[in-house]
Amino acid sequence: MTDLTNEFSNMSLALFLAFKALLSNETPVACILVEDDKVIAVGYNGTNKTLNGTRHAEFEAIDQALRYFAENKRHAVGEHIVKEFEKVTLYVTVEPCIMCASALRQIGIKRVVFGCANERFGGNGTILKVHQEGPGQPYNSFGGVLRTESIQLLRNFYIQENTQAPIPKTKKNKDIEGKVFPPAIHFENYVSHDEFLSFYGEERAPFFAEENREITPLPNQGYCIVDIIDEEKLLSIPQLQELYSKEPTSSLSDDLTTFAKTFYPIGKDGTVNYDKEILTVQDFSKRHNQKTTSKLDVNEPDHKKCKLTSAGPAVQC
Amino acid sequence: MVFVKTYTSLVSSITQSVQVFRSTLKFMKNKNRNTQVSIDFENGVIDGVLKQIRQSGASGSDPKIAKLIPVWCCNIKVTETKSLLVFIKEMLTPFDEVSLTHVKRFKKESDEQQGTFLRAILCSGDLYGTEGDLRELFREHCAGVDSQHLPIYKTDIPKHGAPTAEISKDWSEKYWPMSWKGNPNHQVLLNADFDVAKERTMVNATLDELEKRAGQHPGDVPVVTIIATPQHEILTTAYDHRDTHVLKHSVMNAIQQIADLEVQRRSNRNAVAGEEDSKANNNYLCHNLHVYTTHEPCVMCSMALVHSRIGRLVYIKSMPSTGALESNYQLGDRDGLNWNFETWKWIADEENKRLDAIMEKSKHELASNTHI
Repeated sequence: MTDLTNEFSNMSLALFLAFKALLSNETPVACILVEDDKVIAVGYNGTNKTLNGTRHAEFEAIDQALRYFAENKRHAVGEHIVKEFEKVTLYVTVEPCIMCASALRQIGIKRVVFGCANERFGGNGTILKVHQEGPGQPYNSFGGVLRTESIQLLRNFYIQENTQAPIPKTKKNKDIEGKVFPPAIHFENYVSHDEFLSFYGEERAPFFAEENREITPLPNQGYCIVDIIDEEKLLSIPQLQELYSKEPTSSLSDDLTTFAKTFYPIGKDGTVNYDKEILTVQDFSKRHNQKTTSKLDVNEPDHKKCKLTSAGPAVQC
Repeated sequence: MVFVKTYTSLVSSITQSVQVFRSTLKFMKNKNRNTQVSIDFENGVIDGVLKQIRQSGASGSDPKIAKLIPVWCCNIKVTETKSLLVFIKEMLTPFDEVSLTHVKRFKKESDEQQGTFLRAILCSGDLYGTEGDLRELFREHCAGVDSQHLPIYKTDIPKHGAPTAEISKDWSEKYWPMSWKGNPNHQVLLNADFDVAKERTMVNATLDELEKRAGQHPGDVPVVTIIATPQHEILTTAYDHRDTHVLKHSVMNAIQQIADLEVQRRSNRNAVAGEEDSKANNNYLCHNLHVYTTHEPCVMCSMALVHSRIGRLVYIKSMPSTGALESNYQLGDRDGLNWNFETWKWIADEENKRLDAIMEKSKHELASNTHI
């Protein structure tokens, strides 16, 4: 049996970082770079802050990794960079764009794992196959890990934005609760059948051409996000610790509570359980306001409750 | 060179271009500044020095075959025309990113049941997700049309105007009535409005920088990028630093420098004003700026230019293996991307030879440097 729990666990860290970006009104796309199970860099979309449209999460993370290599006396200058990235995996919530896909090739990334497809600019198969074509070293890119969750964050971001748009446009995404996600990743555009089986395992072979079911950490078992995210792993990321030390009003455990309620659970057959009530970005601000008026939240954090009840099939949570 | 194959084809293409040029002039109402330069319409070359690089010019794409896009349509009674036009003008067109001026808005049809009726194009297929969303918009904002029974559906139309009158007629019968206003690319070439002497100065400015730099920095890859305003004011000059950071190509560096300048400008301005100035005075990325670079940019750099919303790119040397414009992908005007920019290649012999000479020289100097 091919257990993807570790892949999901790593991706959930990127997803949480993207969620943090959403809470501060930034584009909710984030990534981490992992080497030998250690998070060596994280990246958020920095285009608004830097006024540079090329500062995508991947670029921020690559630059951070280069600083990490330098601190550890590893020689990642010029062409030697390829040697240093040969054991590094990128986990990113959205498929890298064409620009980032090319950059990843030029640094010699080992492989990419992504959440949802990038319908407008995807460079790992959606628009172009930069990971497989052209000069330089190709890499594999495996999508569909926390796919609906990655989309859900983007949806939250766009409803937020559209409240300021002129009339007709707001109509498009008014209500995101219960809205069906676009069809699952059409894997043949991204990987060969053999590459697919090598990563997702023989028992997931039907998913190669599956429209309506999501990949789950274990075959034939559902999940909800709190089963996957590891608080200790989150706390081990120095950049996240730094972030919270700068924001005395927010706490990781509160954010995890909201995070847990932002996504639909996935059933054991891989379908989305749209019946569960979820929070959207409008609720986040309401919750925030409530908190600032009364701080008497003595109940156990909701995400823990969810975890306790999830001993049975995850779909119950 | 791509543009001149043989002497005879050169002569014939010049003759052709002069003919097209004259006949186009007849149709022009306003005298364009471009009357000063010669335009080879067939090959998309201005004054023999600037070659237009575009997707339909790429091998493998035939301009006679229509590229289709989906649009939303509805059927109305002739008496409803006026209300519908107001509705389209106010509620749809201002939000539509796709231009639909190359097709007629209405198509007259008749059948036994309804008699004469009109099929109308509403907007691009991407503007609204479902027929229900559009119907709701009709209900709220278009009282003059019976929204409840209105047939709303998608159909495919050519994305661009046809290259010739005959093809336009053909597409009108096959897909949807087209508006024929001449070859759309001829208009693009006429509107390009180049001051060729100034362009030559800009191209030579990149070469001057390259020459200054060549051999000075061992390990440096000899590539230079300049970003300027459309009025040719140079805003920044950037070199290639991939020897220290593999992604710091000159185009990426130039984009970063423009961003740094804007961050600096805003902070100076805010320091003076004491508070944040209005958003209207902010520069947005590299919006509509002109980029001059010695080599055809790679995939990363070309897409970075798309993300940065530049207006025009001029480069000198093609890079058949790594280039992402004429050589691969045509990222400057590729369908489906949310931004297009004009791409031109400087094909004049003089500057191309000059670039080769500088590259050759820096290679030698590099070689002798590495020995030390």
